[in-house]
Amino acid sequence: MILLRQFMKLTSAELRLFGREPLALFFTFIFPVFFLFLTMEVFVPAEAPKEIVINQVTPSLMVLIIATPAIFGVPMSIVSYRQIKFLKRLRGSPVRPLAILGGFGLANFIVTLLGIALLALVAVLVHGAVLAGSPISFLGGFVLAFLSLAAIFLFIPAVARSERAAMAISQIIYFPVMLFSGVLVPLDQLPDWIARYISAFIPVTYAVELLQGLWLGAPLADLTWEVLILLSVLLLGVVIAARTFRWE
Amino acid sequence: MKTAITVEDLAKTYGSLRAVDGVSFEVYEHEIFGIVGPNGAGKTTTVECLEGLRVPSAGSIRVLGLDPQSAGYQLRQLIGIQLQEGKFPDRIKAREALELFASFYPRSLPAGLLLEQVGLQDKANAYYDSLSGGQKQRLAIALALVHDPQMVFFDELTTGLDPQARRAMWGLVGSIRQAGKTVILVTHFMEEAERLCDRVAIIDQGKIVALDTPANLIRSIDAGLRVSFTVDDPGIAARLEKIAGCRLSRSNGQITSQCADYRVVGEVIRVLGENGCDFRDFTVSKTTLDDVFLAITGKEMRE
Repeated sequence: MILLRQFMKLTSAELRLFGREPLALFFTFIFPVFFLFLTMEVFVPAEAPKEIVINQVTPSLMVLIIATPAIFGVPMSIVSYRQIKFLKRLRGSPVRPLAILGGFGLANFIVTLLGIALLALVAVLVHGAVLAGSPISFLGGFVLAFLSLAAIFLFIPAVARSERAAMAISQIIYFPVMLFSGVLVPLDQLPDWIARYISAFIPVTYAVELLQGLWLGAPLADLTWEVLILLSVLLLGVVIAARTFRWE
Repeated sequence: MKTAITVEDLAKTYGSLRAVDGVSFEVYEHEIFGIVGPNGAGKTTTVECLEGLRVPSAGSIRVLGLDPQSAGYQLRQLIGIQLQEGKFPDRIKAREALELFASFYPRSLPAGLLLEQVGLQDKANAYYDSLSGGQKQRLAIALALVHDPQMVFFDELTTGLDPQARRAMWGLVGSIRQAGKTVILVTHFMEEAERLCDRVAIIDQGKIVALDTPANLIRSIDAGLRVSFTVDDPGIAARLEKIAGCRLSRSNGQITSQCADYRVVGEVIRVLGENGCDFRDFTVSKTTLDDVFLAITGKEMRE
């Protein structure tokens, strides 16, 4: 019972803290919708079939919403909480580590879910996107993508000793990851060698392919490779995080 | 007096560095027990072993009858802690921080009551980063008391605070002891230990070099009164040295003498006056724990 209370209180505290970060709010809720508008109204050539483009862009921008906090927000919070000794102070209380991990994770999950829900709403109502696949499978794919990306980038707080170091690592990997994983530029528009030798080694790529496939209604059997890769990435991320986690 | 903490031969090594090097002491219930010494002496490492936040390399510890390592979960229900340089997220409000920590314990005190106790009732809805240094430390105290613990640990509670905020903090620590709690106070600030603590352990280079009440420690070095002044003619020193009960030390024009009592201080002034000596910046001070530290370790406390 007390574990549940600790977990819920940590979740709500973390949600409140998120609500007070204007930059995080902007990148989760406003920027993706704005970017969707830009893509549809400015970037896409007038003669391109918009009903096809929107259904590719929508799931890939959802991955943007998942990956941005996974690369920036979560590692920065962890490093900052460690630096100010907040984690150590928590450890000096009888709060269960499971409640800390769960509360922090759930708060981030809720925020990300709200972000993609808003994007989906705008995509469907304003730009005429259609979810051709099963909503349940899509939600499942989203959860898998969220967990594996959140887990794998936990290597950042493992190697970064300060907020500055974490910020530097996040910034260095963010743009290549976003550009070469199909999030901002469709994979088929990238040079073949980049797609083969770079994109294939970025976990985010598989999240894009999985969500695009599920959005467009591809049968799950066609996506086993993506699911397996993301599950392995999740496992790898959890193992690394568990072995390298430091309270201080 | 019942024993609240027993520490025997505690040691903590980091590689070849012996941060804590065989420390033994007892803390009694309801006392304010000071752990003092210069930065890097091993004070924080020692209390963090007591709090269960660090694993000792050797020795045994019992805090409220519990081993901080094997019974850490139970112990954390009974102790409250404030960490050296510990902070909270910038955008958490004072009341929210208290309610968050309250949820960690089976029983807790209402946030409003705690805020009032530490004088932060007007800051309940203020963000943590908008609080002054003193207010942040008061919130840290309130957070340490949220579950009404039997024992509280304060580590460098007043470091970096202005004198007024420091005095206010001393008042709070005194009232916590009045409420029947045992307080362990870590400080490198000797005046604080002298004012607040019932007993003080002086730590230097990982070892306890003295442990007693502040009054006994001061009496033990038998330093009497410290008189210091500045003169233009250092030759006067030769005459002052003849006064019984007066020990002299000199650096340039500054003369410092240890006088056995106030009568000897009078003698010093008389000799200075009779010789028409022009002296300035004359001060008389009682022996402090700083002098005790100097006498025991041969080093100045202040870095």
